[in-house]
Amino acid sequence: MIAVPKTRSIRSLVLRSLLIAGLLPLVAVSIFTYTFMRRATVESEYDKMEEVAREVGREIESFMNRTAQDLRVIASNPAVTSPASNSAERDRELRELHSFYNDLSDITLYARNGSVLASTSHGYMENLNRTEWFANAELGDLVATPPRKILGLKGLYISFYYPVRDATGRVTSVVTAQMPFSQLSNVLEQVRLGQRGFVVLVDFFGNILSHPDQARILQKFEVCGDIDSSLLLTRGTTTLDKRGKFLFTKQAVNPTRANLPRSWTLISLKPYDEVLALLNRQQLIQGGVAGFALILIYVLGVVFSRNLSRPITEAADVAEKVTSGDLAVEVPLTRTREIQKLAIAFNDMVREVRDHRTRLETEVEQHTDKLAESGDRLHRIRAYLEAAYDSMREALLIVDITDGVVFAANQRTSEFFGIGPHDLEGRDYTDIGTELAQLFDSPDVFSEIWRRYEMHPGDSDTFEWEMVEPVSRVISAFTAPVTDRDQHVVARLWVFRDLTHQRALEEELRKVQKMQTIGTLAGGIAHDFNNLLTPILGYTSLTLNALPEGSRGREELKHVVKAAKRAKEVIRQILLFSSQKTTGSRRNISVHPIVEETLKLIERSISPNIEIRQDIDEKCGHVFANSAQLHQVIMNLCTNAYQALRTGGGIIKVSLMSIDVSQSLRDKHPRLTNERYIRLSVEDNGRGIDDVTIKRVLEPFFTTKAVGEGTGLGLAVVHGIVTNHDGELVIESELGKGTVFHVYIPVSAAEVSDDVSAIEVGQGGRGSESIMFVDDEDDVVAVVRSILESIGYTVTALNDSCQALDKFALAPDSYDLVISDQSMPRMTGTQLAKKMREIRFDIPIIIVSGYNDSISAENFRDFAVNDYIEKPLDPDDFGNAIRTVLDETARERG
Amino acid sequence: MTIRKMVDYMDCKQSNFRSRMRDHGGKVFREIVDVSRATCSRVPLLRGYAIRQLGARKNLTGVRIPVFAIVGILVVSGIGCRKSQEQNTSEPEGERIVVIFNWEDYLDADLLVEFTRQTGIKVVVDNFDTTDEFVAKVKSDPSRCDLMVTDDSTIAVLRELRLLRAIDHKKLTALNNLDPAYLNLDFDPGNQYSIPYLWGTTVLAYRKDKISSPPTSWRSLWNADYAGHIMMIDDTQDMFAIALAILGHSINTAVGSELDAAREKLLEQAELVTSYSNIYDINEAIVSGQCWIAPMYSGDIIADAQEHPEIGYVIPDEGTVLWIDSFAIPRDSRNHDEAHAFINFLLAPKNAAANANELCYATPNAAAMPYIEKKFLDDPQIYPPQEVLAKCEFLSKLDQSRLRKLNTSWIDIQEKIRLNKADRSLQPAISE
Repeated sequence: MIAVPKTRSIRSLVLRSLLIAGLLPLVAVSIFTYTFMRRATVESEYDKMEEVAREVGREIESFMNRTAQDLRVIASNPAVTSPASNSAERDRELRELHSFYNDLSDITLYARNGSVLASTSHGYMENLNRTEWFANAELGDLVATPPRKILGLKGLYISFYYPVRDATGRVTSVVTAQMPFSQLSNVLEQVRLGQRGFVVLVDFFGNILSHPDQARILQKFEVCGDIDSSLLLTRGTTTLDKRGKFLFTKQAVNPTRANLPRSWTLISLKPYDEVLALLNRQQLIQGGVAGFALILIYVLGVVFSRNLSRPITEAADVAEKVTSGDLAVEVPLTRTREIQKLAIAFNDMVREVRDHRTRLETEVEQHTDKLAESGDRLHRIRAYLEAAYDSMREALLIVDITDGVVFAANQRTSEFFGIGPHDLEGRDYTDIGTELAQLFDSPDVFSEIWRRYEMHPGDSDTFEWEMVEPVSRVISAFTAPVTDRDQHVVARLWVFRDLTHQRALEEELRKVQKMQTIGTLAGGIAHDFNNLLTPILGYTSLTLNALPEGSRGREELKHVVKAAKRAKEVIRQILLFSSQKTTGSRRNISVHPIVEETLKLIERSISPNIEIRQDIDEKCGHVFANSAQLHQVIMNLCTNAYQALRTGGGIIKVSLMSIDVSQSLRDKHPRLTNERYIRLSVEDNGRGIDDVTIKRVLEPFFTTKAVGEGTGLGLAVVHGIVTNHDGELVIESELGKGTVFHVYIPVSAAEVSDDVSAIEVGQGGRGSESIMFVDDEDDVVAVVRSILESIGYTVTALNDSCQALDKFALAPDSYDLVISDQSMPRMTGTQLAKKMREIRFDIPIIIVSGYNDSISAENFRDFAVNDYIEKPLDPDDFGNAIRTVLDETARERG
Repeated sequence: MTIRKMVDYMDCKQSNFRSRMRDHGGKVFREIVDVSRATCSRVPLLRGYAIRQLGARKNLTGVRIPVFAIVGILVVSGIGCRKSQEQNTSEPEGERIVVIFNWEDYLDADLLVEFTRQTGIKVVVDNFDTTDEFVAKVKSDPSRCDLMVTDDSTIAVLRELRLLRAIDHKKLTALNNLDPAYLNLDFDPGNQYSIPYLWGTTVLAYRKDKISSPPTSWRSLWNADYAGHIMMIDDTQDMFAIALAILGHSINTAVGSELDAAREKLLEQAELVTSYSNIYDINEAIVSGQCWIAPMYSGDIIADAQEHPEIGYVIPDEGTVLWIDSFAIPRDSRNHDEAHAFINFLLAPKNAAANANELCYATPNAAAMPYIEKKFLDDPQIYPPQEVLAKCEFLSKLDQSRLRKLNTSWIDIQEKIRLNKADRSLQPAISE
C-alpha cells in the first residue's frame, strides 16, 4: 500500500500564511503591552492603597491620642482624685466631667485593689484589677483596649485606662473611660477604594474590628491565600469567597504606641478587575482591532485561495468520478492557460480509458458466461462424484503424502472402522494407522504394512485381513499411489472392501458341491445295490417260503432277509440324501400336523426315561414342502436327540413357531434370504457336541455311534432336505448342556393344499391276472417272474423295453398290468408307459426304480402311471402294490 | 529568684509530685512550700492534697498579689511551668498542648494524667478564684487559654460579648452520653458554645458544733447570734439571689423595688458578716471553725463534710441557685482541636463518673450514672429531689440596668462592711 503523505489544502496554506504574516506581530505587541501596563497599574494601585491606609492609620492614632488627652485631663482633676473625697462627691464630679467629654460613654474610678470609687454609669461587670490592662495602668501608662463588646450595649467600645497619681507621683487609683468605637469605625467604613474596594481593621488575633458588613464584626478575618493578620507580606493578591480576586495591602496600626505589643492591622482591599478595568478596556479595543484584521485576512484568503484552487478541485472531482467508474464526465475548460491545457490532456486520457474499458467489459462478459457454464458443469460433476464416492461399497482413504495427513475419506469408513470421514480428514497418517491396527486380528502386521508405504510411496498391493472390531469382517485392502500429471506421487489411496459375504458364499458353495458329489456317488451305488438286492431278497424270500417251518435252513434264510432289508433301508436313506436336487412333490402344507403325528410315532418307541415336550404353534403358517421329507426331517432329528439321551435319559423339547429372521442371523447364514420363516427346533439336554465334531456332523456317513447303530446319514439327510427346501439347518450346542437343531423353512404365502401327509399304506394280496414285467437286469427279471408267479399271476417277463412295447402292441388287451423298470437303455420306463398308453389308454402301469432320478413316489402320477415301487423289491410289499393297482383299475372300470 | 517566682515554681513541683506526697505525707516538700509562702500568704491544704486559693489570699500586707503572678498554674504533665500565655507560643514545634482555665481543684488530676497518656496532649491548668476574676481575664485576653469552665449565666455573658468560639459537635463523638435535660437550655440554645460539665447548687453550710439546731432557711445568715462568724461569697449576683429568695422574689427579678429591698436586706446583714470572700477562704474558715455559717457551692462543702463530720449543709426551704458549669472554648484559642479532644475525653462515662465522684458534684452525663458512687446518688443535696429542684432557679444574664443596680448596691454593701470592720478594729483602741 502506498503511504499517502498528510495533505493540506491550498486554501488552508494560503490562509495560514496570511494569518501568520498579519497577526503574529499584532499579538506579540499586544501581549507585551498588556503585561507591562498591568504591572505598572498594579504597583501604582498598591501605592495608592498604602497611602490611603497610612492616612487612615494617622486618623486612628490621632483619634486615640485625643481621647488619651481627654483622659489625662480627667485624671488630673483634683476633685476626682483626692483621697479626701467620698464616693458621692467623686460620682458627682465625674458626671460633670462626663458632660464635657460626652464622647466617652462611661467614666469609672478604681482603687488599686479593684474596688470602684466612683462611676458615671456603674455599667462595669468584671473585677478590673485582674486584667493586664489594669496592671499596666498601675505601672503608670495609658492603656487602650482593643475594641470590644460591653454587656447590654450595642457596638464596640475601646476602654482607656489611665493612672491617677498623687502629689508625690505615686499611682493611687486608675481612671477608666469607654469610647464608642463607632466614632472611628464610621470613618473607616466610609473609606472607599474605587467602587467596590474597602478597608478592614483586624486585631492581633485576626478578629474583625471594622468592616463594611457589620455582621462580620468580631468574627475572624479568614481568607484563603496569603493574607493574614501578620505583617510578613504587606501587599499581594487574594481571593475572597464569592467576591473574586482582590489586591490587598496591610498596614500596622499602633493606636496607643504603648503597653500593648499587639498592634492592629489595617487591610485595604480592592477588586483586581476594578484595578485593571481601564487596562482591560484598552485590551478589549486592541482585541477588537485584531479580530477585525483576522476577519479581513480570512475573507481575503478565502477569495484568493478559492480562485486558485477551484479549477484544481474541479479537476480532482472529475478524476474522482472517473475513478469511481463514471467515464462520461469531462473537466470544464477554464480561461487559465495552464489549467486549460491540463483539462484537455485529462479529457483525452479519460476518453481513451473509456474506449478501452468498453472493449474489456465485453471480453470479460464473454469469459464470465463461459466460466459460469463450466462452473455449473463442474458443480454437477462434483456432486455426482461425491455421491458415487460416498455410496461406494468400499471404504476409501486418500492420504496426502506431502504433509502426511488424511486428505479425504468417504462415508463408508464409519461403517468399516467406526470413524467418520470428518474425524479422519486432517488426521496424521501414522496416527490413523495406529488406531486402525487395533481393529484387526494382527495389529502388528497391519501396522508394518501401513508404515511400509511411507518408505515406498510408489508401491501398490492388495491384502486380505480379518477385522475383529467393530464387527468381525474379512477385509480386502488395496493400496496404490496417486500421481499428478508429471507422474509424481502426491498421495496414497487405500481402498477397503468387505469380503465377508463373498467368502461365506464361497464356503457354502464348496459344501454344496461336496454334497452333490457325494449324493451323485451314493445314488449310483444305491441303484446298483438295489438291483443287487432285489434278487437276493427275492430269491431268499422264495427259498424261505419253500422251506418248512422250523427248519434250520428257513431260520438262516430269515437272517439273510433281515440283513437284506437293513441294506435296503441304508440304500433308501442314501437315496433320500441324494434326492436333494429334486424338488419332489411339494405343496403348501401346514407343518404342525406332521410334527404332531411324527412325535406320536416316536413317543411309542423311546425309553420311558426320556420326556418329550412340545411347544407347537398351530398358527405358525404354511410352507411349500414335501410332507414325507418333513416327516423324515423330524424323525431324524428326534432320533438323533433320542440317541444322545439314550444312556442317561433327559428331555427332548420340540418347538414350532414362525419367526422374523434378524439381520445378524442372516449375515451368519446367507441362505436365509427371506424375512419370515417357520422354525422347527429340536433340543436335547444331553452332553452336547464339541467344536471339532460340530463341523462334521452334517457330513454323510459321519457318526459318533458304534458300528451298526447309525448310518451316519441322519443329519446329512436332514441337511439335504432342508437345503432343498430353501431353508437352513442351524446347530447350537454347548458341552454339558445339550444341543439344539433349528430348522428354518420359508413361510409360504399361498393357501394350504389338500392334506396329503397321510402315509399311504399298501394292501397285501395275490392274484391271477396277466402281468408284463420289463427290466434290463436279467436277474431281476428272473426273480420277479418267480415272485409273481409264486403269488398266482401270469407273467410275461422281458429284458428289453422295445421288445416289450412290440409285444404289447401285438396284443394289448392280453395284459392286465404292465410293470416296468424305469432305468433302462433305449427307452425308460416312463417312455415305455407313455407309448403303451398310446396303444391302450387304460392299461395300468407300475414303474419300479433302483434309485430316484426323475420319478419318485411323490410324482409318479405326473407320468401317468399308476404306482411307483422302489427297489429292492420286497415280495410282500410288491404283491400288495400290484393287488392294489389291479383292484383300483377294476373299480374304475366297473 | 523573687519570692513570687519561687512560689510559682514550688506550685509546679508540688503538683508534679502530688500523688507521691499523698502517699508519703510529702512533709518536707510541703514545708518548703509553706516556708516560701509564709512571706506572702498562708497556704491551706484542702481535701488533703490540693493547694487552694493562692492568688485570692491576702498577703501579710493586705494587698492582693498582682494577677499574672498569683495564678496557680498546675502543669500536670510535669514538664514545665508557665506564667503567661505568650510563653505557650514558645512550645516545641509539633508538641500538642491544651490550656484549661478552671476553678481550682475542679478537675480530677488523675484524669488529666490519663488524658495525656492516651492522647499525648499536654495539659496546662490555669485557675481562677471568682467569676469576676474569670470574666476579667477572659475579656482582657481571649487567647490565654484553650478551654474554660464556667457557669451558665457567665456563658450567656461571654456569648453576648462574642468571646466564645463555636463548638464543633462533629468532633464530640461522646456527646450523646449527656442527659438531654441539661442540653439546649436558655443560656446557650443548641449548645453552640458550651458543653455541660457538672452541675450543683448553692447550699447553706454550717458548723454542727456551733449551731445547735440545724438551719433550714437562708435567714440563719441574718441570725445575730452568729455575728462575726457569718461569711458571704464575693459574688454580687449569687448574694442578691439569697436576699431575694428570703424576700420571696425571683432571684432574677428586674423589678427595681424588689432589688432595692434585697439591697436593704444585704445592708442589714452587713454588720453581722465577717467578710465577703471567695469560696476557698470560706471553705477554710468553716473547716477551721472560725466561720459557723455561710453559703457554699454544694460539691466543695460536701467534700469537706466527708472528712469533717461537724460540718453540715442544707438546701434551704426558700430554694436556691441552680447552676450548670460548662466547658467553653475562648474565641482566640490556639489549640481548639485539643480542647475538643479534652471535652470528648471527659464525656466518656467512666471519666465523667470518676471526676464527679472525686469532686462530689452531680454530673449531667447520663451514661456515667452506673459508675457514680451510691452514697452520692443517695445524697439529696447532690442530686436533689424534684420538689426541691422546683424551688431552685438558674441565674439569668444581667442587663445594663440590673448590672448598674447591683454594682451600685454592691459598693454600698462593701462600704458598710468596710466601715464595720474599721469600727471593730477601733473598738479595742477605744476600750483601751
